[in-house]
Amino acid sequence: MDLKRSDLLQGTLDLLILKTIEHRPLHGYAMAQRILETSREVLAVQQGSLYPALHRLERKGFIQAEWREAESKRMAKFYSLTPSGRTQLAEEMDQWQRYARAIQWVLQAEGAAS
Amino acid sequence: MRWPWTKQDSELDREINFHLDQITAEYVAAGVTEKEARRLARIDFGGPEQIKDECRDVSRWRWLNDLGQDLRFGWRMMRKAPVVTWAAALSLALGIGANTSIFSLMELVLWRSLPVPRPEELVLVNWQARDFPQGLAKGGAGHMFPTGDGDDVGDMFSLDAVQKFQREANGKALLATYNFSERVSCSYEGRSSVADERPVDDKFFQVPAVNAAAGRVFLPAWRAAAGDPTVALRQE
Repeated sequence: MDLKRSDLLQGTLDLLILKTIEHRPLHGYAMAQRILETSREVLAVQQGSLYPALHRLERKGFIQAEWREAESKRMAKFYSLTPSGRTQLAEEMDQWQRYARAIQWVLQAEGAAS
Repeated sequence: MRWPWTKQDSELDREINFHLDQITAEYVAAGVTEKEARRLARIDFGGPEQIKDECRDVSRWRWLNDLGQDLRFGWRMMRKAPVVTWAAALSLALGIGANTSIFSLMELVLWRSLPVPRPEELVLVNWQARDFPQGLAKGGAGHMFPTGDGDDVGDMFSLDAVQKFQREANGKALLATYNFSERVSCSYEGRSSVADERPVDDKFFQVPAVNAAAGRVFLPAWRAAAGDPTVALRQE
């Protein structure tokens, strides 16, 4: 299964970005790599679509950017969580888990009926 | 060329170019030719120019969105507290009104120049002296007031003084004199009214270089015909 950009549920990308940089700052390319890796190659985010989301999150004050040297010795823009981004991440994770659990209940109930 | 307002764009370019180069390097490492790798990177990335546009839209239209939200919020708050709203509106109205009238008055009194060709060259001559300057001012008519530190300032000059000034000015400056104004009654075509009359000399209109709106002002030659006063009327 290969989820395309449009297949990502609305608002999910923001959550994925926030979670990916929870522990260390990353640049856009590394984020795309990491999302692919941690989702066991299921979530192939359209790489370019990261950037409008990153800029939006930066505007909202959830993340902050800084130019730093990347592994390839080139300068890249690294994003990290701000305190309010950390709060936002906790809230969104909570919401998402409740949502996923609820969906699962519905699916299991249907399975039990048939 | 780099301008402050293009900084954001070039940062965006650098950021996205870095990403494209990383994907390209990945393909090159997998054995794809440089040119093909670059093409594939652009496909994976998904139209760099379109992405850049989307990023710019985030910053470009956000303020409009924010403004709309702020306006709606402000309106709701004002509806919620009408007394505060009216008090604020009223104090603003009074403040603006007071400022406007004070500034119009100051403009009229302090800043507006006389509507004559060279207003900056006009001066009103006064004298300032400890004791009344007999030779300079005796016989003249005008006003005098104390300055507060023992001096007096006056605007009356004797005929001798005026004639001396005119000689010394020697054509380099024009000098005109006037007297107190007095209230007089006058009648014209059967209607009578009260007017202010002020005797002036024949150069009075030459000094500010103004002419009458209709008819003419005094001619110097008329001076010879003393005892036959000429009157210039002012329209109110």
